[in-house]
Amino acid sequence: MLPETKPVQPDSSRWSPLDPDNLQLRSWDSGTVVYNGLSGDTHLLSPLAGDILQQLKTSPATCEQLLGALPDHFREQKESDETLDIIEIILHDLQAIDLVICNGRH
Amino acid sequence: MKISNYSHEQLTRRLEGGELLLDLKPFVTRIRSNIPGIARDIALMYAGFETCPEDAFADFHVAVIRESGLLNWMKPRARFYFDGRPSFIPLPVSQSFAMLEWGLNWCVAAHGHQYLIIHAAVIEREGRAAILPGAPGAGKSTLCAGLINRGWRLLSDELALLDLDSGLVCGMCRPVNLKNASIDVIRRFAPHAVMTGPVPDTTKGTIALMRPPEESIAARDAPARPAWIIVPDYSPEASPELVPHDRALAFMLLAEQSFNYDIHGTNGFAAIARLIDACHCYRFSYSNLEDAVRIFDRLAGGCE
Repeated sequence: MLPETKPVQPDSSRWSPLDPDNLQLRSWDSGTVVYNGLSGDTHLLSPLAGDILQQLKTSPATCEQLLGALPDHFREQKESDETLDIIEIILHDLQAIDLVICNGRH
Repeated sequence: MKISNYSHEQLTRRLEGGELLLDLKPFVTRIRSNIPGIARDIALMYAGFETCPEDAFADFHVAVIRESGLLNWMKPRARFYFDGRPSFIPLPVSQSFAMLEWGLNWCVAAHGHQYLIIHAAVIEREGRAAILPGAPGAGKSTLCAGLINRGWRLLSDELALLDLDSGLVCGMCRPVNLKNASIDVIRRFAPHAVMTGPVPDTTKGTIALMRPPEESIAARDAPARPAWIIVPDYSPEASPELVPHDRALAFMLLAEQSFNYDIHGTNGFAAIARLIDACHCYRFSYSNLEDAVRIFDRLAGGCE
């Protein structure tokens, strides 16, 4: 007997910067540098990670909302699951360096 | 009064009495020393620099003093003092002048926080400055020494002082540190350059200092507008190549090479971002100073 399959629910966790007032960003074509005033650390981010952080600074968002807000990065990508995975990986990387937090499902 | 106007006896007496105030614009340093070689090398390297009156304000009070004791009688050593306190480990007396230079670098890097201080050489042509950051061994001092002997003005071979308000960069035009093979490279490239004798067996290998050209010393209090950030990359087999450099990477390099970026916080971040925006960023591979002169001259002429 096969287990009952359920449709995969999109991850609706909402992400936001840890402290938007203490983040300074500067972007060039090749990447973004970000200064975290809370830790004093400076990070070099890929253009996509920089745009995600910039977008979250404007307003907290889910992965789907970020995908919708940053279409230029994903023109080549056909599968939206793949692009959502990429965004989620980046968000977890940003979380690991204390730039963003996940506020759980909304 | 300029250092060149002092006799050796006068300079020695001033140093022994702690009465030599060297005007290293923008800092004044009071120097005391009982080591004869220091007077000789100051006379050689700082001949064109002004001194200040004995009672003038000094930003830094430093001394290089011969250590006492039986051990030091057998193997003479000297120690650097800052504000009367011994700093750093003693070194052989033969390294006294190098120790003074390294100690002065530390004074500025650790205290000159009115500036963002970047470990980089700075040279200038027609009001536009090229900032040459790089890790030790990247060839920035050799490149700098070569270019200032061919028409570029020296601001600094070691410490770029970035004014956070104006965005201008200044240096102190102090002697250029040359190490190991670079000493003979510059001797061949610029036979008339004035250098101290080589000092072997330092922590950096054999070192010698080169006096900046007179034109650079005469203009040493004039800041310059940064126009280029050029990351040198010396390699014995490298073909000369000046290629655009990633701006975000250049930002990170300048932040890493800054002595006080962390102290300035958001202001430091904004200052480096403005600097990157104001400059063309390049990586420069080279193995030969004649190639470097040709390429930098083209750059100054607007051909790159």
